[in-house]
Amino acid sequence: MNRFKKILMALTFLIVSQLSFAQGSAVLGDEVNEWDIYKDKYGKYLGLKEVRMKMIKLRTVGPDVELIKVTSPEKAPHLALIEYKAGSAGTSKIVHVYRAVIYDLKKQRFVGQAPLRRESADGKKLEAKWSYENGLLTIKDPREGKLEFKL
Amino acid sequence: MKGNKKIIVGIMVMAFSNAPVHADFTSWIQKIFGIQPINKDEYELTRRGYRRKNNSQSSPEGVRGNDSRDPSNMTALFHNRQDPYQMSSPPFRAPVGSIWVKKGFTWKLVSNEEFVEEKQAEIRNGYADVLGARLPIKKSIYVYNLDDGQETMLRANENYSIQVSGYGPRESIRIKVYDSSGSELPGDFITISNNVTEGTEKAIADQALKAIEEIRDAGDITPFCRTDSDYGVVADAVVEEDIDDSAAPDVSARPVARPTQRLDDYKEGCEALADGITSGDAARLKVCANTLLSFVNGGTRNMCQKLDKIFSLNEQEQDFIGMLMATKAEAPGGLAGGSADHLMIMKSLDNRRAAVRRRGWAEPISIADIAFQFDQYSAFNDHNNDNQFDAPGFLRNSGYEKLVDSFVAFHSAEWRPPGVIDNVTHYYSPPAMIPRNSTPSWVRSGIRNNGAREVTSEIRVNGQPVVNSRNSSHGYHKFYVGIDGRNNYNASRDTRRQIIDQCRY
Repeated sequence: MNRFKKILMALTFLIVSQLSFAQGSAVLGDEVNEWDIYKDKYGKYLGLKEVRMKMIKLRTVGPDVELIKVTSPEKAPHLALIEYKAGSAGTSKIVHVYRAVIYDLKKQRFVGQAPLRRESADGKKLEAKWSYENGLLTIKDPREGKLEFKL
Repeated sequence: MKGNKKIIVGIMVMAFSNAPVHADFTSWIQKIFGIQPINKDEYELTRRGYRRKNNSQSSPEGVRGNDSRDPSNMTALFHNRQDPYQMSSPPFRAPVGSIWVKKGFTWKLVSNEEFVEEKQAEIRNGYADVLGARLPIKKSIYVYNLDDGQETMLRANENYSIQVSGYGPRESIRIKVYDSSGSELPGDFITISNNVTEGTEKAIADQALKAIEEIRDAGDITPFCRTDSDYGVVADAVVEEDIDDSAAPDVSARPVARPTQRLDDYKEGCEALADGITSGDAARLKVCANTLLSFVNGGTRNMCQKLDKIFSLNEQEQDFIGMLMATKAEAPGGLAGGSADHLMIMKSLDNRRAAVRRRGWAEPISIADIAFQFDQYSAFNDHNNDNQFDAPGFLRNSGYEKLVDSFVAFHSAEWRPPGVIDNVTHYYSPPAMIPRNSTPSWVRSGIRNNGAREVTSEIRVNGQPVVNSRNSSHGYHKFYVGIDGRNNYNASRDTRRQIIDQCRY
């Protein structure tokens, strides 16, 4: 009986420790410091620091490209939206462009990328509208039109 | 005190004991103090002291090579890092951004880019067989498409093959992927080097990897091609003391290469665009400009429909109208045809096209493609109307004659400084900025991260500088090299279809 108790306790300990470990471990890709921007002469790429080949080419307009933050939509918590500044451009009135890469945290794969907003030198903002319904992520952007991602 | 005197006397005795050996007192002094004698034939006295005479002065930046090896062999020149003074020297110091290359028995001044491109092409040709080889997949491997971030397994039994094309980010290997029918899969693929060697023919794969490594090394010219600014040398001092322009051959950059291709479908007057542009073409090109503007403006007031028409022109006509429209929209007003500012705007367009060709943008790439990229040339952005495409008069039929003169002048102009001028891809207008005279963040980022620099004061087009705040009441520009890194223009492409489809007006 004692032996059985010991085995039971050991098993319980193992299960509990595994569960707590699983809860404590962050999902790869849900924090901004897990990502970095890499470049070569052909462009700039968003990549997971821990997975060497996990990269996607960024759409950029100028050299001032930088990571901003990672968020998850309330309706789609399994997605990470990695917001980045796609740069600025212009010869007199400068436009700053912001975009986001969509990353599926559960499947650990890129879904795509889409515009977030454009800020003009005169303070005007042009924002894309993002919505998530029935497994479909829809982005309506005044410049790029309607984009859809099936999740 | 007495001890010190003894030591001094001792030293003097030791020194003078050797005196009879040296017949020449000057040589003896030089020996005592470790001074190397100056060969007066090699040096001349300037107000800043002795300097090497013209034929042996100045570390010839970028000069590589060894007279004991075949000097026409660019690879040998490149890889030999011996003291350049051991070579017979070039006639004068290479200007910033350019490099001396010895071909046969003559020296040629080329831009750093030409130097690298020629060398890389030579290496590529040497490895043409392995770099052209399609390596069949013998063991399943993963490849990754940078365009969409997806990974794919190329299974051994599905008859895929790959071709090594270069390096990708994070030391990855860039490859082209072919399916069983030999068709190239669309995408920008990378994989790790082990996948290339272990998953395919190892012997050939190893050679292909060696080839791309050599090509990459050839592109790194910084160890021996540093510029004065890299050394912190003030340019004026160099010009004054080290460069003897009177003895120098013409170092202005070559005229812009003329198109020599004759296309089929020219509009009236535009056949003058074929076979190179000369001053004799000006009259016909003015007819061409009128024909194109009438065609583009006819029957519509919608800018987006006009863009659609522009992209329906043949490539040379797109180059022509792209140059004219961007220059009309961007240049300070009141300038004469052929002015340096007109030509520099055209040059920035042309340089951007050259840079994106190096980056592998798919052809065709016309100047209209470059000019109408969203956000880049502010004159085409209507900031008062939600960033829609603007047409602030650049499409009116008037005022194009002097721009045609500038277009003609562009093709035969002499540009300075060589090398530098081919990398001017960016400029902005300080008085037109919001707030006025503020600096764009792309300038700050380019300087901080990519070593960009302003070159406005150095620019000469046919000997003329561009206008500046002191001599222009219609605005002026500041010009930069290296904003997107050396020899690069890194913005993502808006395709013609995207430009037309996403145009809002």
